[in-house]
This record gives sequence, C-alpha cells and structure tokens, in this order.
Amino acid sequence: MKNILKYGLLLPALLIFTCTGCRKMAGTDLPPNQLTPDKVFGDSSSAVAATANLYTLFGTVDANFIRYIGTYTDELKTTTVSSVSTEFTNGSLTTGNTAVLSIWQNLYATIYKANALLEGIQPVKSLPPTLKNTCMGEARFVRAYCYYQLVNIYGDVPLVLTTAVTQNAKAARSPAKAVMTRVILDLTEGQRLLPTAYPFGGEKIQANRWAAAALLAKAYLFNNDYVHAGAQADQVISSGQYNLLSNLNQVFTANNAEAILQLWNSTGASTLNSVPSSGIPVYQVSPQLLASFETGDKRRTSWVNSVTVSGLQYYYPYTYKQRNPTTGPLAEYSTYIRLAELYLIRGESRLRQQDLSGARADLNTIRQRAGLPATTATTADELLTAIRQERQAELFNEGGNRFIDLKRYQTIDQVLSPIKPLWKPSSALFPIPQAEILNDPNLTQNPGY
Amino acid sequence: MVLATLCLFFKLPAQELSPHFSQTLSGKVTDERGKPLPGATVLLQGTRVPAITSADGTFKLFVTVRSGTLTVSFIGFQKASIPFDPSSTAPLSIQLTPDLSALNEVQVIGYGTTTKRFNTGSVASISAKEIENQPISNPLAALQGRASGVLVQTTNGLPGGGIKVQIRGQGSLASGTDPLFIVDGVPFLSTSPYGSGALNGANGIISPLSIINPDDIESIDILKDADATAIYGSRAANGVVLITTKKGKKGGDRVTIDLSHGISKISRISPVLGLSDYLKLRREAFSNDGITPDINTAPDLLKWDTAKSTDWQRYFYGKTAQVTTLQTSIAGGNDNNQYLFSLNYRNEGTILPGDENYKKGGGYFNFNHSSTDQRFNFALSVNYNKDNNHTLYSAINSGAFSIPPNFPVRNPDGSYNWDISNPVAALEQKQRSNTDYINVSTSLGYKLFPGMDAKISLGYNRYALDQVATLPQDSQDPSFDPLPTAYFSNSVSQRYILEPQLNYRKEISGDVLTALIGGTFQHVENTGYTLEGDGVSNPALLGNLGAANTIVNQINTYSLYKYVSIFGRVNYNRDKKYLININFRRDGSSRFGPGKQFGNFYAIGGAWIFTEENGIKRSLPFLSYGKLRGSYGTTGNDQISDYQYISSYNAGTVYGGTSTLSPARVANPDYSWETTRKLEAALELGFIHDRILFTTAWYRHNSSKQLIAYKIPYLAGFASYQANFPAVIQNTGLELDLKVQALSGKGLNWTSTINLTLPKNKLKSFPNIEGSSYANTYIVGQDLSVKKGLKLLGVDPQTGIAQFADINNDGKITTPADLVVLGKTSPDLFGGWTNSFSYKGFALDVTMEFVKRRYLGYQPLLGAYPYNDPLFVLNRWQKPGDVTDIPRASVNIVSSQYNSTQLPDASYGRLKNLAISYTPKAALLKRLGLKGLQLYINGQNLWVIANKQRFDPEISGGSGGVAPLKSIIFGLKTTL
Repeated sequence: MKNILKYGLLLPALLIFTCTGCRKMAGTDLPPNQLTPDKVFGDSSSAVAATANLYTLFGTVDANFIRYIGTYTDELKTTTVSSVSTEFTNGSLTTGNTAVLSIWQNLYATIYKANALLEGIQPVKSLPPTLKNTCMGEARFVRAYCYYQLVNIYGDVPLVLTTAVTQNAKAARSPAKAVMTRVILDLTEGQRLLPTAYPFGGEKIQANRWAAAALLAKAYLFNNDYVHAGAQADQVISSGQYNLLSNLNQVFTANNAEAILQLWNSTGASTLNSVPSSGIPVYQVSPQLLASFETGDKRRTSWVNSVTVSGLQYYYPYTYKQRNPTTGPLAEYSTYIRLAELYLIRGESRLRQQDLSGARADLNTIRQRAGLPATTATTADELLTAIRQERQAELFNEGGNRFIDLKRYQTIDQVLSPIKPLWKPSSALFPIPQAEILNDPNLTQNPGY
Repeated sequence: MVLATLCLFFKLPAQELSPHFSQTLSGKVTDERGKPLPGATVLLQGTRVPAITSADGTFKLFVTVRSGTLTVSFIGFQKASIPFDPSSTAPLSIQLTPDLSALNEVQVIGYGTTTKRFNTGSVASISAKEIENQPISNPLAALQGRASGVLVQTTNGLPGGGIKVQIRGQGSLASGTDPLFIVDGVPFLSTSPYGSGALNGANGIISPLSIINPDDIESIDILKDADATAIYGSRAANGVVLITTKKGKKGGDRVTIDLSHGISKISRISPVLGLSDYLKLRREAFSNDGITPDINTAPDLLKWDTAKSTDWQRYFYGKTAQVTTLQTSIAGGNDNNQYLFSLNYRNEGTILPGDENYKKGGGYFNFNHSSTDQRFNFALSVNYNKDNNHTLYSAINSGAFSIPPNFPVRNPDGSYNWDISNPVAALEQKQRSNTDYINVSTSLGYKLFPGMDAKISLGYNRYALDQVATLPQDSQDPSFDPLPTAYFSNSVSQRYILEPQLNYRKEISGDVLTALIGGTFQHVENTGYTLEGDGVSNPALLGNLGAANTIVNQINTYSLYKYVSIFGRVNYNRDKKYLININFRRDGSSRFGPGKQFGNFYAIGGAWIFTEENGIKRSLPFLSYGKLRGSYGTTGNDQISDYQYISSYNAGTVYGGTSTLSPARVANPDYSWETTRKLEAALELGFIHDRILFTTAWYRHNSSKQLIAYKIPYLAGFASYQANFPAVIQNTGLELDLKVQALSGKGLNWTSTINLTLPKNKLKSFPNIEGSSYANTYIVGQDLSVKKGLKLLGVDPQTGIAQFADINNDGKITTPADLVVLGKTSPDLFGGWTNSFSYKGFALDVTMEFVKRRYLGYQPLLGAYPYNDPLFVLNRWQKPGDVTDIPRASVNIVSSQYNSTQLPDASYGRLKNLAISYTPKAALLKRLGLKGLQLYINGQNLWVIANKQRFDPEISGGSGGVAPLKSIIFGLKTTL
C-alpha cells in the first residue's frame, strides 16, 4: 500500500513532465529554404526581392490582356480558332472562358502579394525608412493597378485589402466607384512614398513617383475628374524626366526616355509579335485600326508591318520588333505607360476645362511626332473627336486603353455592334468567372451572363 | 470433445476440511525449460484468494487444509492441477507446459503484448516462419495474401521497388493511405523520400522498408481496429504495422549458417503483337483512312527492314537473375543475459539487360539483460544495413512493349536510331542508389514493486539514400540538343523517439487489471537535395560532379516534424470471461498550427468469452472457444507536408534578371488531422479443442475532416489552401479467417489457413462536390476508385467506327459532359489460402493469393503511330460485318478518353509461395555433430492465373513498373 502511494505519485509527475514541455515540443521553426514574413521584411535585400516579385504576374497579365482585349475590341483579329479566342472575337464571352478567369486570377494573386507585403512590412522597424517607404509605395501602386484593371474589365469587384483568407473567401462585390476611390487613395499614398528616381537598379520596370502620378491621371479620367487628371498628367510632363522620342522605332525599347513604366518578361516584350518567319500572322491589325491612321502617319509604317502570303497582304502590330522567344539581353520591355499618353490625357483635360488652345497644343505635340500636320479641329466637339481618334492610333495595344476609352466615351456599342454579331450592351463588362462564383457564395454575376 | 465431456462428469473428491488447521505452502513455478514464471496464479481449488508468483517464480499460499489440489495458471501455458498432501513437505516444484493452442500465441500490440484469446482488438500476425519461407528482399512482400483486411500490391518487381500496403481501404482523399510502420518501437519512414528529391529509377519509387532484412524479423503484427490502433492516436487511421525483430534466447550458444542460391525471372511477359500482326495493323490503319504512308509517319513500313523482328520483351526482361543469400547468426544466453548477433548478405542479379545488380548486407545485434532479482532489465537492438542498387535511370516498361518488332536500334552508320524514342539507348542511362540504414532501440525497465514496472524506451533511426544517375549524351534524343547530364541526389531521414512508460498489473481474486501510462517525444528531420551536373566532356567522368561544366541546384528540402504525446490504457479481465480495454492518447503534432496541435483519441473495446459461461459450455459442447468482441474509437491521419500553417516566402520567378521572393501559400492556422471513427464487431469461434478457429469481423471506418487542398476563390490570392474538408469516406467490410488443423499427431500434419476480405468503399458525403476540383474524379455514394469514361455503344459493323453514347443529347461527344462511370478499380474481394503439411522431416507450405477486381487497362493505339499494341487488338474490326468492341485501325486517335472496354477484369490468383523443406532425423544430426540441419526450396510468385491477353494484374495498365518477379531458391540451413 505504501508502495502504491509512493509510486502512485510518479503517475501525476509523469503527466506534468509530459505536458509542461508539450506546447514547445510540438512546435517547429521554419526550414532554411522558407522565410517567415518577419524575416523577409527584416532584411533590405529580401524586402527588395519580395517587392520585385509584385511585378512577375503583372507582366504576364498585361501581355495576355492586351492580346485578348485587342480582339474583343476593334484593334486586332486573330487566326486562332479556339473557343476561348473565338468568344473574344465575337464579343460573346461565356462565364467559363479560361482567359477571363486567368486575367481575374492573376490580378487577384498580385493583389494578395501586395497585401501580404503591406501587412508584413508595416510592423518592421529595422529597415531603412526610405527603403521601407519605397517597398510600400510599390505595393500600393501595384494594388491600385490591379483594381484599376479589374474595375474596367469586370465592373463591381470584391475589394480585398488583407490576406485574411476565411474572410476573403466570402468577399462580396464592392461598387466600382468605391473601388476606384480606393485606387486613387492607394496611388496618392504611393506617390507620397515613392522616389522620383527608379528604385532598385534604376530600370523602368518598377514604379517611381511619376508612374504613380501617371496611373492616378488615368484613374481620375475614369471618374471624369478632369481637373485632377490634368494636374497629375501635367506633373509628369513638367517633371522634365521624360521626353518624346522622335524616332518611333525606339518608343518601345528598354528604358527609353519616353517610357514611364515598363514590364519585364523573361521571354521578350510582347506575345503579340509571335509572327512566324513565314506564313500568316496569328494576330493581325484590324481594318478599323488600319483605317484610323491618317495618310502620312509614320506610326502606320513604324508600328505596323505586313507580310504577303499566297498573294494576300496581312498587317500585324510591329511596335515591338524583337521576336519571341528572345535569347540574349532584352532590347525591349513591354510598355505600360509612356509620356505620349499623358499629353493626350492633359489635352483632353484641358479641353474639358475649356482650354481649347492648350488641348490643341498637346494634341499637336503627338501629331507632330507622328509626322502629321497640326489638327484642323477648332470647336470643342471637333477637338474631342480628334483626341479620341489620336488615342486610337497612338495607344493601340497598350494597357487596354481602347476598351477603356470606348466605355469612357460611351461609344462602345455603337463601334462594336456593327463588327461583332453577338455584341450586346452587357458585353461592356466581362462575366465574373463561373469558377469564382462556385467557390464564393457571395459573388454575384454581371447582368447578361 | 470427448475429453471436455468427460471433464463435466469428473468430480474431485471432497476435501477433508479442518477449521483449526493451517499451513503455508510454498513452491516455484517455472516454464518447460525451468525458467521462473513471475505473475503466475496459484489457487487452492474451492477457494477464491490466489497467490501470485514473485519475480523468481516462487509463491507462498496460506491454506487451512492438509491436502487438496492447487490450480496453477499462466498466460500461454496449460493450466496445471497439482495435488498436495501432508507428505509433501518440501517446496513444490511446478513446471508448466506451454499451451500450443493458436489462441495463446503472443500477439504484439501497441506498447505491450496479449494473446489472441484475450485480445479485445483486431490484430493480424505474421510469424518469422511465414517470413522465412518466402525468398523475398522486402519484408512487406511477406504480408501479401497472409492477413485479412490488408491489401498488399507490388508496384514494381525490381529490387527496391515499391510495395503498397493498404489496411481496410482508402480512408483519405489526399493525405496518404500508408499505415504507420513501427520497427522495434521506432516509427519508420513509410514512403520513399522521393518528394524531398530522391530519384526514381527503373525500379520506380523506392520502398524504404526494403532495406530491412526479412530474416531479422520475429513477427509482423498488423493493428486494424480502434481498440488496437487508438493508442497510436493521430497517425493510426490507416492502421499500424508493428515489426518486431528477433531476440536472443536462453540456452547454449547456437551458430546458424543459412546459405541459399536461386534464380529470378519476370513472372509475366506482357502479351503484344508479333511482327506480321503488327505490320498488318499499321498498313490497315493507313488503308482504312485512305492515306498514303510516308517516311515520316511510317518509318516502320517504309524505312525499317520489315523482315527483321526482335522480341523486345525478352530483350529487356528476358534475363534470369541469380540470387545468393547468406545468413549467419550466433545466439545464446543464460537466465540473465541473452544475445543474438547476425549478419546478412544478399546479392541479386538482374532480369534487365546489362550488368545491373542489387547487393544488400548488414548486421543485427540484440542483447537482453535482467538482474538476478528480475527487477531490472535492459534491452538493446541495433540494426545496420546497407544496400547498393545498380539499376537503370528510366523505367523501360512502356518502351519494352510498345516498341515495334522491327525497330532497328541503330542507323546504318552505327549511331542510335531516333525515328521514335529509343529505349535501347536509354539502357546507357544508369542509376546507382545506396541506402544506409541504422536503427537503434533500447529499453530500460525497473520493477518498482510487484505489479508496477517503469520503462523507458529510446530509439534512433536513420535512413539515408544517396543516388547518382548518369545520362550520356548519345543516350538522349539529339533533337532536344541534350547535354551529358548527371543527377546527384541525397536524402536523409532521421528520427529520435523517447517513450517513458509505467505498467501496472494487479490480480484481484482471479480478475486481472492492467494499466499503462506513457509519453512520447519524437523528432523527425528530413533533408534532401538534388543537383544536376551538365556538360561533362568525358563520358567516363559523368558520375563526377567536379567534372560538370554547370551545376544546377534542382531541389533542396528540409523539414522538421515534432511530435509529443501522452497515452494510457486500462484493461480489466474479469474471470477470463469479460474483458474491457480502454485506450487513450493525447497527441501534439508540429504539422498543425498553434491551438490546433493537440488532439485526443480514444477507444473502448470489450469482449465476452461466452464459452467460459457454464450454461453455454454445457449447451454448446462442440464449441471449445467462443468470443464476441467489439470496439469503437477514434484515430487520426496527419500525412501532410510540414509547415502548411505558416505563411512564408520562397523563391519566386525572376524579375528584371534578379531573383525574387514570393508568398508560398495562403496559410491556414485552423486545420488539424483527419479523423477516422472505427467501429468493429467480431465473433471468434473454436471447435474441437481449438483445432478449428474461425473469426469473422465486420468493420466500419468513417473518415472525416479530410485534409485536402481546399478550393477557395482566386480572389483570396491562391487557388486553394490546406484545410479540413467535411467530406466523409466510409470503408466497411467483412473479414473472415479460418484456421483448420486438419491433421495432427505423429504422422502427417496438415494445417490450412484461409483469409478472405470483402471490402466496400464509399464517398459518403462531399458538400458541394460540383464546385470542387474533385467534381470529375469522385461521385458521392460511390467508391473512391471509380473511373469515368465514354460509354461505348458498340463498333459499327459497317464502318468499324466506335459509337459512344451522347449522354447530354447535344449531338456531339464532349467531355466531361458525356462521361459515365465505367466501374471501379478497388477490389471486390481478396484473400489468401495457405496449406502447411509436414510428414516426419518433410514440410510443405503452399500459399495462394487471390484478388477480384478491375483495372484501368492499356489504351491501344490501333495503328495510329509506329508503336506496338497489346495482343487483344487482334479482335479489332477489320471488314464490314465484323462484330466486335474494338474499333478499326486508324492513323487518327479517335478519343483519348477511356471507354467501357478499357476497364477489364484484372482478377488473379497467384501461387505466392511454395516452400519445401527437409530436416533429417535427430539421430543423424547427432552423428554429424549438428544441432540442426535443414534443406529447403522456396519459390515465390511461381504461377499466376489471370487474363492472358492483358498485362500483369498487379501492374495496372502496363505503364507502371515491372511485373513481380518469380523466384526459386535452394538453401541449406545448419545449426552448430
């Protein structure tokens, strides 16, 4: 009995021994090939590496988007006959279209990265303040870019600003207006945080203050806020950091003086230019785009090329001259925003504020570079028509500008109905991908799908 | 039975009672060899208070009679009745005879042992004898066809190749269905370190257990139900396989030398078309389509010699491999110390062309010590094995059967022919794998006071795999601009385990209470890397990393898994009639996030040995043993990657020419293990003194909280995250085990054992399966192995074109809309039948294994490409009027979807094992001065009955590995 008492004490002792150390013993540290956010953002070089990563999908999504949106509008036609591609050509997307999903997916994956960076870097004290600001500014810029695209493509979209997965997986859509307000907020903040010089290596492949200003100008334009749009565009133009290149063949080269933000892609600048050395180009310039070039427009000869196959002439975009896939150093980067667009934004803003001569001057700057005479437009209406037409010719295949413009000018149905038999007014917005709706009970579909 | 009946009428003479008399009886209880038996029960008949023998086997019993009978009982021994009278003054010496009834054989269970008679759980045991009879190199192969509820399938027959063990069906969608393997108390790596960088050679994914020498194993015990497995908690959902190595035994030093030599061949050649049938098929394909073959589409018809034919199957797998094994051991010991030391060596040639081979060797040492007062004991087992596996870098299986009979290996200029992929060139790509394995297991025990033992077990296990694969330039297709390349891979898996335990045993008037409490601390560290070395100029230096121009780091992994638990068990045996067993385990695993690391698992099991009830004993005299048992409890499965709960960054895509860091995952801190609730009911019956034992067990395992990559909307950043999903998988089944000692005695002995399993698997529920990534894989209410495909309506007798059912009536055949369930591939039934005969010095053991099921067959190309087809395409449509279900030959692949003809019957019966041995008479041995001598012939996989037109039934679809090898060895075992 004594023994039972004596050794009976061992049992609880064993229990205590087992349990006190338990919590610690069942936990592990991360392995050396994985880093926790505090480690990533506690060190300058890894924080910079995480910031550069924000742009990796951004490049992919931009290239894909340009290709598909070109065929969806009146810029491109394609020889591709897959159902994914045909739906874009006909202007009748279905909810299961994989490209519609992939654009959505890549944009939100990038938003996640930006949110993770902002959450991870915020509490860190050890980083040099300017570096930390730059990283945060980049994240704000990238997030704003993604939402700007999302709103233009899908309309109302879920506004995801954290990495909280359980909450995000049930996110509902926010009104486009509210999302754009957030875009403007992020860009204003980004502008404050970013340096005027290009960060981390000096290449124009990550946003600086002027890139944020340029995107801000576009965002204000979306809101028809011409005062602010013009002011932002003016800031960039008068910064003196950029100038229009007289040689049109160099407008898309890497880090050229006109470029404000370019995207780096390991396999070359543009997937559009996958022109076979012989044979019919997969992506061709549409007759509508071809017609938008006035006689004598140098862009028609510098940025469009043609090939004759079996006696027929095929025109294809030639803004990027390097062929895919590229070996060796990249001579061209995919250009997202350049100075010419800001002249056109400022011009349009001036026009809307009744500064007709200022508008005419900006328009003529672009026309002159294209080898065209000064505009003959005199009235405000004529000038607006001229600017629209100039945007079509100057900014084709860039950032989805044509699609966004057609909606902004409310001419999308008028322009696309005649050339796309299945076009409906609801086609102005893409469908929300069906796969998303299946996985998020609170997500609703756009009208018409 | 006669005896039993006699017993009922036999009455002991009434004892002479004298109320005033008292005396103390003393004595010693020993086993048949004279070794003391502590814990034996000594009871005076007619009384209820027994004495229990102490550590040295002695007892003292206070009695109030002059004479009477003592009943002495101990587990595993026959009950003895010892009369005493006033003349017996000296201490009684009682020697017990072991009870050879199969019911009393020791079964190893989690943290203890029991017997089949008193087990409340479901355990299948394989003995050393059954393992020794089989000429195998991977111990897991020994389980095939031997245990009910355990499906063992060879995925590759080459040395080191994979063997898949599944206990009671698939209970997990994505988190692994491997059981928990434990070798001498130390958890063993259950899957190949492939994921951490190890290479896959011609032998497929390496089965780590193949490094263990089967001859070092004393028993393999397979724990199946909740009662048996819950003590292993969060890792036990898929069952537990306990491997116990041999121990030293008391007695004079015995030296055993066991030498064997034999041969191995492939058990089955895949049946393919011969040259003329092949050429006919190809020509038919072109003429059916009205296409003129050209040199690019038909090199076999226009470029190659159409008269020259090679039997490629024989070319690649036709060789006979020589197998030599040597086992030596020395063992012995006294009451306090026993030891066993053994060495093993195995040299196996190859069936592959070339000089590949497999060598395995190592040593095993076991030492047991107990103090003279039996209070302290110490055990140590050390096992070190090493193997050297020279094989091919790539699996050639599909190359071996699909290569056209007239394929010329070389061009006229002597270079390799690359008109099609050249599997002969691939023979130059070699792979060498070296495994280094050490397992150390020690335990220290101390008897604190009678009935209370303290024990601490310590284990260490290291499994290291070092591999080099060499791919010379000319062995690779030149159109891909290959470089001479070599891969270097190294993976190490190490684990430490520490388990303190307290055992308590108390006998209270014939009832036995045992209790156990213990804890586990475990560390598992896995590291691995793979390097690629390119551009070695001199082929002789290809395996030398230093000679490579560029070195690419392909994979570099590290993970640490920590595990801590507390467990306990209480078992109460009331009157050897009623048993109750309660298990509990609280586990903490580092695979789960803070707050989710700990979980509780429990099981309750009970048994009623109803043949111990007098009423039943009387009314069912033909029953010698009858037990009804049942159990219910929970177990878990945590076979997922480490760190999934932590948000982290890893290397991302390059941007701007510099490397980046990318978020690795959406971390979910809120998931924990999969839970399987196991329910079992079983009836065990013994007839004619247990010469016939029949067990029938029914089980139902419900596995829920499935750990899957849970689909989330992309807007949350990633496609999925690791989470518990409320899908439920149900495995039910019936297991039947019958053992009949048909003949026994001095002449012919014959024992027959049959096991049969009838499993059913069902996806019981899966909320929102349509929206999940599993929508086209699984169907709620059906087996997890269902295969979908197009429904073949038939082949048009006029055109020879296959007609498929348009399920959604949209006028065209589309997928997945027109897919239907073709069937399932999990077995409907499997089992084994072993017959053991012995006559004088001769013994014969025959084991048949049988499985009834279907598999996803090989899809014939029907002449579309210059590749050969299985023999069954001879039945294809050839001319109008032919009625068949195989469409016409065509150069266009009609559909890559499986259809209803492509899920053929893959049932088989295999003569798994045939063992013949002869042991000379003792007199002869004495004359030779030997303690033992045995001559034997062991055969494995000697014969199979299966669909002759299809590939081997264990190698699904023919695209997997090499069919199991058949081998036969001759051996001589001498004991000095």
